[in-house]
Amino acid sequence: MMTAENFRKLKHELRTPVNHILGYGELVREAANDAGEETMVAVAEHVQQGGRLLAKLLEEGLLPGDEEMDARLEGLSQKLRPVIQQILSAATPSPEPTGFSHHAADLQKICRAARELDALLAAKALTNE
Amino acid sequence: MAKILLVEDNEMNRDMLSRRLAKRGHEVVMALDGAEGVTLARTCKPDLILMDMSLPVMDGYEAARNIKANPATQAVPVIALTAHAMSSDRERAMAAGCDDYDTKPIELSRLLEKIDRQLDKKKTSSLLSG
Repeated sequence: MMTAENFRKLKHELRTPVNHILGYGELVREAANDAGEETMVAVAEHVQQGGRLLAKLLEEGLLPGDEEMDARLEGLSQKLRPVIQQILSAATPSPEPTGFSHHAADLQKICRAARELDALLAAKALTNE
Repeated sequence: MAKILLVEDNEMNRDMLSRRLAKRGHEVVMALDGAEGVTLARTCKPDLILMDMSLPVMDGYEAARNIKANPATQAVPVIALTAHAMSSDRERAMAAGCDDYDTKPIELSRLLEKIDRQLDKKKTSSLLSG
């Protein structure tokens, strides 16, 4: 069974990139809204929707003191990874809409956070094999 | 608008929050660890401190205790930013002397309300003490 301390660390590790996706999603949405860039607002909202779903899945999937944490992590990973791919897809629209270049740096950070979470989940799966 | 000291070791967290606060007219000073936070609390004279509680060198709990123990900085409101929503983390933050807390992910409107509330309290307290 996972110790309480290890559980806290795991939750923190997984939540940090999700918080980044949400935070930068909000920054892009605000800036795009201020500039009247409707398509970019929609891009940001898709990213944020994905981020909120990730946060919800993590909250539901990570319960303390769970004796079957390894199995739950694998199940959680299977739910999270498609959402991560959706976020990556939303954050790299093709063709690039008007105003995309203004937000490119923040969208790259969103992609970085999404890939970081994906890599964490893949690493957890490997250590549990 | 206020001078806010943000004590946060994660670069992306600092970037996100500082930009959103600056957009709303606040001046943001940043520290990367608890020890630097204690120093800047003294030297920069912020109106309010946002303190992440998981920090290197000196954690946020210790930094808050230091700030509240120093007569030069004890009146500065400290809002703890906790990554964990567990009540024990909140209790620990308040026991360390923090005036309020908020949990990540930061919902900016909620945090701004808390900031405004603390700044109003500080202003009232200063007026009363003459």
